[in-house]
Amino acid sequence: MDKDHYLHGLVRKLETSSPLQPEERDHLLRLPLILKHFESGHDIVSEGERTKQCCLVAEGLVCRYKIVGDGQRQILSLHLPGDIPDIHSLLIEQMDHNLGTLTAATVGFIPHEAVRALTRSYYRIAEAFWRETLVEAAIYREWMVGIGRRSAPSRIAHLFCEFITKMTAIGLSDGRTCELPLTQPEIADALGLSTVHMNKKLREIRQAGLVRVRSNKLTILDWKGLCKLAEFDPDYLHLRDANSKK
Amino acid sequence: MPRYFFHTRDGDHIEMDDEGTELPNDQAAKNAAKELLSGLNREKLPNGDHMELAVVVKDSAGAEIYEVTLHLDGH
Repeated sequence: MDKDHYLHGLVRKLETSSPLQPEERDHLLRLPLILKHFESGHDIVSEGERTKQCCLVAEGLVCRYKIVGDGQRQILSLHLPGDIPDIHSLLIEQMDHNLGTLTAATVGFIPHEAVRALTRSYYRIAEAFWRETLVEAAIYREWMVGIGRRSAPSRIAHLFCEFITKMTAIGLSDGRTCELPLTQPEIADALGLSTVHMNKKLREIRQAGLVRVRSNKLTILDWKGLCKLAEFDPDYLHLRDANSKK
Repeated sequence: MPRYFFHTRDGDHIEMDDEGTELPNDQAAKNAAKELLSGLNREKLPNGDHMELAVVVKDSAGAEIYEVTLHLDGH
């Protein structure tokens, strides 16, 4: 796959929440991109680092995470192809968390200068990036409610609902089944659960006939039931398609 | 890694774990049992003033290697 393909991924992602004009799309597709491959479980940017570039997830699954005192990891967010999870590094220089790969991943580095020049010339592109970070903040709010208040089965169900909805929005799922390249310890780290607890509750969700999770693949068997358990309402993802359907 | 099975007991209700979880050793399994118990406890409020939650850990040969119980008694 080449650079153009990955920049199309960026445009597709931005367009899930922001309409773009052809001219704006063309300029985004001309951004300079330096591709780099990472094995699974590697840091792309570490806490404390100062960078002069931001990274576009080209292929694979990337997460933000922090390690607490006793060595436990909290996964803070999951990032799919088309995301620029450190776009904020344009304006806040020092990383306050780690950005790492959960699968083998290809990342495209874009110099800050290039993004800055583009956003200064095209305010709607600046708004699109701004909107991305606002949607991200909305996702964080949902995760906070989940970790703080939802039961373990509800948290797991919510992660599945959110993941497949995001995958569908960028064209990587038909809404019924998608790749879910997360191990059970990784899901547990995202939900603030112990792995054994997570295994036990995931089994209950499977036995209730809501989903099938097998060899890195998630299949939804009962969407309504899963949404009910999760109390999932996709409004917080602010997807344009979903809004226009209403 | 060896596989451990975490069966739970809530009063008279027993839930068997027939899939298990791979963990490095017995000590990790014991710690995981305690973590599971504290996680389950967080989700569950007793109906009355008494609750007994237990996790029983068995190895793949079916031998019990650990049991940890949480009692709640309100007076």
